[in-house]
Amino acid sequence: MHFLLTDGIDLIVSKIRQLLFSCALCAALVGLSAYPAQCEKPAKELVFGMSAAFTGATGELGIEFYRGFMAYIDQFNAQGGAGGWTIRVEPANDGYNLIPCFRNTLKFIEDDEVFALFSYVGTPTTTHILPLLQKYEDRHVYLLFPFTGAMPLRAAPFGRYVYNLRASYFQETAGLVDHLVGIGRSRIAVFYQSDAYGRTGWDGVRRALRRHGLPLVSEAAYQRGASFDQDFGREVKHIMAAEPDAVIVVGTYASQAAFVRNLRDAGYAIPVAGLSFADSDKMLELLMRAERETGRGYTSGLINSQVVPSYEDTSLPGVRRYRELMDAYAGIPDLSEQGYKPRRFSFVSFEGFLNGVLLGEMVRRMADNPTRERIPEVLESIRDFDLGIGVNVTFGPGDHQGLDVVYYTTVVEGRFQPLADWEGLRP
Amino acid sequence: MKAPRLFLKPMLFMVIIFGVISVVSSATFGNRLKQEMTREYESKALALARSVAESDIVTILDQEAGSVQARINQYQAIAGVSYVAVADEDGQIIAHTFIPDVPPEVRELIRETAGTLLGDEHLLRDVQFGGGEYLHVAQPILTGLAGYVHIGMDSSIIARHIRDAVVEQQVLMAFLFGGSLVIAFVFILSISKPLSLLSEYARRVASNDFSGDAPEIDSRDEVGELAGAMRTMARHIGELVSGLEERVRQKTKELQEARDVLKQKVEERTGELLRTNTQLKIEIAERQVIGEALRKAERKYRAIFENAVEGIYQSSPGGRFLSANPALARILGYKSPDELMNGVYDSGTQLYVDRGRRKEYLRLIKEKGELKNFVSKVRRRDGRIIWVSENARAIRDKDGTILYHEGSIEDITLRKKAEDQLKRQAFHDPLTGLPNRALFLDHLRLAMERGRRRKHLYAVIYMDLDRFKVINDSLGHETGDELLRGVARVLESCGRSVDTLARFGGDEFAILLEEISAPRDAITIARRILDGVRQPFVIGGNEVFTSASMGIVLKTEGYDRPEALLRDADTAMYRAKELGKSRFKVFNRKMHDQALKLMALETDLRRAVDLREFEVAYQPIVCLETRLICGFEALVRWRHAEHGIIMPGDFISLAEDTGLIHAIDNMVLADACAQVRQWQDCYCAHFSDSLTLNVNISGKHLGQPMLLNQVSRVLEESGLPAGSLNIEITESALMDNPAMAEEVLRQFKGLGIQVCIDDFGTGYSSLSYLQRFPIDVVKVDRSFITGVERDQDSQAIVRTVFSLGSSLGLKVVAEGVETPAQLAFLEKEGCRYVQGYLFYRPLSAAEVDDMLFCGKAGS
Repeated sequence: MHFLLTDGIDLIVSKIRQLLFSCALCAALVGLSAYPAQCEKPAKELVFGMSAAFTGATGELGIEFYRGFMAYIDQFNAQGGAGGWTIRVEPANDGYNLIPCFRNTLKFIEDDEVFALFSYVGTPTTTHILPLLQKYEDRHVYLLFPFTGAMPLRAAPFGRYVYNLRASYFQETAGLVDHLVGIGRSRIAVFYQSDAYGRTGWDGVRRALRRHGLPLVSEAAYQRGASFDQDFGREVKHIMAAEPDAVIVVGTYASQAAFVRNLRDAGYAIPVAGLSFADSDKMLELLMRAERETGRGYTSGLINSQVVPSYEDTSLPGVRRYRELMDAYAGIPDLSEQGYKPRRFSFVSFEGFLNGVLLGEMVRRMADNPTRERIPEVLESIRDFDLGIGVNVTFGPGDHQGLDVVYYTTVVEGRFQPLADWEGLRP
Repeated sequence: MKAPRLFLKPMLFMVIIFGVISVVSSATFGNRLKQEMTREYESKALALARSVAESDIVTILDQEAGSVQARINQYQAIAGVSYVAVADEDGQIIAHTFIPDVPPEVRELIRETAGTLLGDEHLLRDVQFGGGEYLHVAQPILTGLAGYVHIGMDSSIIARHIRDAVVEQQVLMAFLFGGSLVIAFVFILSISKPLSLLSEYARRVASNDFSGDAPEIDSRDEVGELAGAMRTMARHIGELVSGLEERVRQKTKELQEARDVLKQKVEERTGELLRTNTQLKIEIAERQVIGEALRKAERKYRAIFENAVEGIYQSSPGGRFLSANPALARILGYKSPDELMNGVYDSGTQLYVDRGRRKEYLRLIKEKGELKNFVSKVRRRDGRIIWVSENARAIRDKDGTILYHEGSIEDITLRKKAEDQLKRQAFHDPLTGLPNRALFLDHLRLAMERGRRRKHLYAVIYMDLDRFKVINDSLGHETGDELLRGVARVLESCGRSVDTLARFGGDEFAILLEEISAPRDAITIARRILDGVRQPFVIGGNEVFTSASMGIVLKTEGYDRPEALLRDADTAMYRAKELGKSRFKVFNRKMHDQALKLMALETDLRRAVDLREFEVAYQPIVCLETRLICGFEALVRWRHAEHGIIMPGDFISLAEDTGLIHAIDNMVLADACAQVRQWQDCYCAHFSDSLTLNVNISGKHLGQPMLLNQVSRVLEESGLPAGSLNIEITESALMDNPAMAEEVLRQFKGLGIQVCIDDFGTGYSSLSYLQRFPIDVVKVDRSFITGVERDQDSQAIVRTVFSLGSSLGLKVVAEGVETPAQLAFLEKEGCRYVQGYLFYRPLSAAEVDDMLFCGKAGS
């Protein structure tokens, strides 16, 4: 029997060897293909690596996020950059999976020697690569403005290598919980993704509820990668067994949409609150399509917290500028699937846009001598920087959190609009 | 190709063997695999749990659920890991990998782990939920202060591995089995093929077809040998068959010839038979005449047979009566001979009480041809048992074969009874019905023989009633006999069935105790008998009391004659009597020695009487008033050839027992009378008054009718005046038989002889006797005289005797006076006569002569 087990282990080892070998081969090929491009690049260009899902269930997140900051960076480069330094963002698809994300990051650091990692999307993936930042501490690799509110990026030991623009999931969930409790919905359940992201959101809800002295009435996890077609009937039943009067979903747009569909199908009308990471626009689109197919109503009682203001609020100069540049930008990353139809505006691309603005500001401030070592110093010099969204960005030594504001939206006339009146959701 | 039947058994065998091997090996293999994998999984889970507990301690301390989740999600990818959960120190889950939620079973386990699992311990448990089985491992973080890691390993993987391995093994086994089967098939085919050829050949030979050749099998194994042997056998059989056919033809021809010869002989014989037939007819006529004569004779003898007093019979050797006469039927209790013959089919079991008698009967008949006075017990038809005497003989035919037995039977029951009665009388005591001495000795002899052969403990008790003679004399012989019968019943009630209780005549009984386990048993029985005899017997309305003395012999080995044993028992019994009666005494070695000594002494004593070895000593009696000798007491001395002088105390009782006392007493009396008469004549001047002589007469002697004659003759012969003679009789002798004593004493008085009571005070006599008996002198026993110096009681007794003597007019003598103090006391109390060492010791006749001659008598 020993031989069986050792055989198994041998097999695994040999598989890993194969894998490593093919990785090395891939890396070599990429390196070779990248070599001429490096030769061609202008002398003053700063390259940033971005690993995100550009395909799959969360693929639209990566694409829209990318489009958001590229709308700004294109204009930034077109205007000659800063001090002659232009910005190039190298996207890499990880499909919202840990190993590809890790591999992409390794490639960015080792082969591409990027200036910094920028606008990573996804909590589990991003959390997974954090040890690399410590590993290459001597090369001063920093992760800038990732699209996640998870705590590992904001806390020891790796928080010092990360600069966040958006508010944390804790802040989002705390806001949601506070408001829901405020309108008398204190029996709160959580539907969450079974990974670091989901767990962080779950943890946030739990902590917020604990502050109110309330328990989490029920919870259900789902496997990462769920599509809209997934049936969450069982999970709905499990959660509703505890008779909650609100559900907070910590998931992706596809899973949240699927959960809402199953919940409403089961006849429950209680409010469902999602986080910013769930691309609310895409989710709404999925639900509306389902509404059209089944004739049922899925879009009422939806709340989504956002870390940026509504892109519909054109009273903000930032929004106006975003809409202007987005209309002018038509690019989509090469990595996206064929036939992808870009969204005109979305919360995701708006956040991406703001990321681009902040990145431009950083480059601008170090244009005299852009080096990796200077990134903390330069970013921490940013105080009360106006993004045109009504609140300013401030970093500082030990303060790697740019914004702390959470916005709440709900579906009005087929669109996510700022949630003006919580009282309407009172049971 | 059809499988040979020979193949079936090996196939069955292989199926069983392979089946057993595969089942056993699968079971062991599976079990071992399970143990190993479970151990691997345990250690794996534990390693993972420790890794989480130690590497993520910071995030866990921070309760950084997201980081923890990121970490534990990685572990889930590891083979076998089914779930991971991390809980804080209160058992609150921080992160887990369950979808959608933690099963209640695990939640419960996590909750109960918190706080109970501390330090470096870890928990290992099998958990079942959702249709799966898991190996659950819990490991504390920071000894439980920071929380716990829980890892679940999927046990179903173990089961799957085992299943795969077992299936693989079974397949391999099946292949092996198939291969072995094919090999076995081919192998057996190579054996069975020549065998079937051979059997085909054998069938041809069996149907007499020798034409074909044997199959060509040249293999050099057992099958080849079989083929060769069959070829040889077939050839032999072929030759044999053709030979037989030839002989049958020849014999047929011979038979034909023999038949022709026979036919001719038959014709000749037919002629002869016709002649013989005529001859026979003549003979038949003659026989008829003879037959009539025979019938007459038969009638005559039958009458005798029918009317005989004895039973007469003919019987088969098997024990059935062939014929019997009415007397036999009557003797055996049947109504008629026919009934007897029908009723008895086996005399051996039906008639003889003792089965062996019939065998004995047959044996005697066979050996001697006849038997006479064959006495047996026979059971009549009504069940009564009678004694019969048989005479019989065997009737044989010419060849000597026994045809039947012929015999007569006589009923001898009455005679037998008379014989038994006589026999019983010879060996039993008619009074008590107990065995007598002869039978007892017989039983004792048998017991001694048994004792010699094996360890057989037995004991003998010799018993004698105390004072039976008195009862017999005073209450009459009928009462005595009744008492003896009563005692016999007591013995019977105390003895056991194995014991022999016998009466030896008189009041002597003997008991043989057999099969006792210890000497103690004999003692127990003896005590019981003594107690029983002591109870009063009611005879003729009176209560009669008696007691018994017993001698017991416990050490019965070493005797060769029963008489010797009885003698020792008797000796012991006498010792018991001496010791005070109503008791038993066990015979011992010392007694034996004493008996021997006594026997020797007895022999000596007889010789001494014959040889007159006795001498008389004279102790002077002194009158205190005159201080002169007033008389002598004659004392006997035995001058033994070897032992020198023997004092009377050592041999008088023996002499009394043996009856020698008469001779001794007479001799002393004669000698003393003659001597004193002589002194009276020669030295009368020396004595106060006339010299008296005191002579002791034994109590035994007292009853002798001859005594008086002897005394008077001695007086006559010696010339001693009767008034000078004092006959001394002990007080106890008087008390033994007071009536007789009184009579004798009166006769003495009639002769003028004085009577002296010796040893006065020891016989417990009442004072009335002193008046009743014609007494002249009283001798105070020496024990009182010795006591007066110190003892108040003795003084009182002596004083009383003196005052009594003076009031009754008796002469009182004090004997044994040895000191002046005693003398002073006696003088003070008015004593007149003394005897003792203070004055004189007993002196020989010659010494008295000297003393008297020298005139010292008065000093």
